[in-house]
Amino acid sequence: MFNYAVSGLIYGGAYALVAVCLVVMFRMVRVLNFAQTAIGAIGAYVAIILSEHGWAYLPAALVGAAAGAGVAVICGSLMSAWFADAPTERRSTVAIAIFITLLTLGFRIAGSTPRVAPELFGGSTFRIFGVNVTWAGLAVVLAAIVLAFLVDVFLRGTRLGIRLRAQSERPQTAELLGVPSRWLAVGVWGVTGAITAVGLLVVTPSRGADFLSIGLLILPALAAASLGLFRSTWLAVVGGVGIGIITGMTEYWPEVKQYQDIIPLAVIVIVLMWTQRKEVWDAAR
Amino acid sequence: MEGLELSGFSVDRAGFPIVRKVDLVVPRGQVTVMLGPNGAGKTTLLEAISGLIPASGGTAELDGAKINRASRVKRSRLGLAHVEQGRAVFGELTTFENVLVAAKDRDAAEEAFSTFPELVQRRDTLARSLSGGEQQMLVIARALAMKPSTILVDEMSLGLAPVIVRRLMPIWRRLADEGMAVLLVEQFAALALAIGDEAYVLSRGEVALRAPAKDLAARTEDLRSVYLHGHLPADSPLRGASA
Repeated sequence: MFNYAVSGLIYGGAYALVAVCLVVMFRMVRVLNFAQTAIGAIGAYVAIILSEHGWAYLPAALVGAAAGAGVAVICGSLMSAWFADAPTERRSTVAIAIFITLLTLGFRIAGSTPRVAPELFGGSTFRIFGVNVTWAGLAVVLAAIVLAFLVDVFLRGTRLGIRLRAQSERPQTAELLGVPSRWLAVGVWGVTGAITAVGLLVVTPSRGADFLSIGLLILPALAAASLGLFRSTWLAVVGGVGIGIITGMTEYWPEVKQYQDIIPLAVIVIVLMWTQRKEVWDAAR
Repeated sequence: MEGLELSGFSVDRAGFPIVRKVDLVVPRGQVTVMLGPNGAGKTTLLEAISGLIPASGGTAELDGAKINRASRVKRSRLGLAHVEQGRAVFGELTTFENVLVAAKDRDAAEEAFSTFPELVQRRDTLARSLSGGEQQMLVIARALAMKPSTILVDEMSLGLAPVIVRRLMPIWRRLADEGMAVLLVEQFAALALAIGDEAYVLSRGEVALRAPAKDLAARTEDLRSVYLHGHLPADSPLRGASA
């Protein structure tokens, strides 16, 4: 069973990576970005198509990341132009509309047939304590941890990070102080779009490479980010890796495996019940 | 002209005219006081000057450059600062981080603290944990960190103890004496007029009275009449100076 749990690392790392991006988007851009994985899926798909045409993994991944960033920048620009001063709830609703649009477009263009996705490090593994671990799984978990660390350092220790925190709290006031809030927000969209594309590209060979299933990875990522209430990058990493490991463990029991898709929903329900446990009915309503 | 100048400046909200054809001059080196009853359009006017809401007509010039179509960021880079109503601190940032957002660098941020030594010992405190007076000082320090040439101050005294208001008010006089253009929108009319050079009274979106601040300070009955009726009494000597 331990082997199955470890096999879930690769999912977990990707969930964690996307979850950190969701936290950054929520904290810096005031949007619960339901479209995060749909944007990343486009980037991942571009990389997959390039690799089908004989491109090596790294250049294909870089172009895929750039494509993810490009789509994210377009979405971010639209959001900044039309909903810059809108509350988080309205911006998040727009993100749902973007998610559905991108998913529909992707499905229409790419179809439902899974593609053969390239594997990071050629799918090679190593053994530790008698357990097979993929290099890709280890790399993506480490990438999520490093990203969470860098985000923390950047936001607390740099002037640009402080300005980003300011514009996320009061975008209009920040603009009055000379902070180009809209451009910074579009930049955050772009960077998280690129990171998400790479994260999804790594997990795709294990999950099946059809556009819809890649795009729907938003569910475990949202569940992971909800663990830290979309505020903590570290809890997002813990949540992502945890959900990945639990998903991997379900493979051990065939009768449980069929229910693995409800794990994110269960996590979200548990987090909501725990965080709302002290609310009285009228206040919670 | 150096400073801020509005000509025929109008602002609508939801299709309704709130500010109508206002002519206003805020020269450098002076404190220009703007008074008026609630709902007169003072805050709307300031928000349109700084670009928070669009103007519907007229022109606004800052140091001779038209700013009607400039973005909020561009206006701030041209030297315009806006101290918003309601102590708009970044609550999740520390005092120092709040100032650093507006300052060019750390040195400029440190310099901004010199006006408010009270804030130095609170520099690592989250802004939301500061008292009301400290938050207002922080908002002013943050605006000063931008080193603006023109500053708009909206109801600085709102919700503050009179002792704090008396502590903060002379700062505007000093900044004007150092060459800044100050437009001070204030409810504490007597305190504002005491440090002001020129005063405007806004009523129902229009300039109902323009007079030297010291003249208006000496005729509180006339001021009350403009607040209540929108015009000066027939026998007021200020009628000659009125807009």
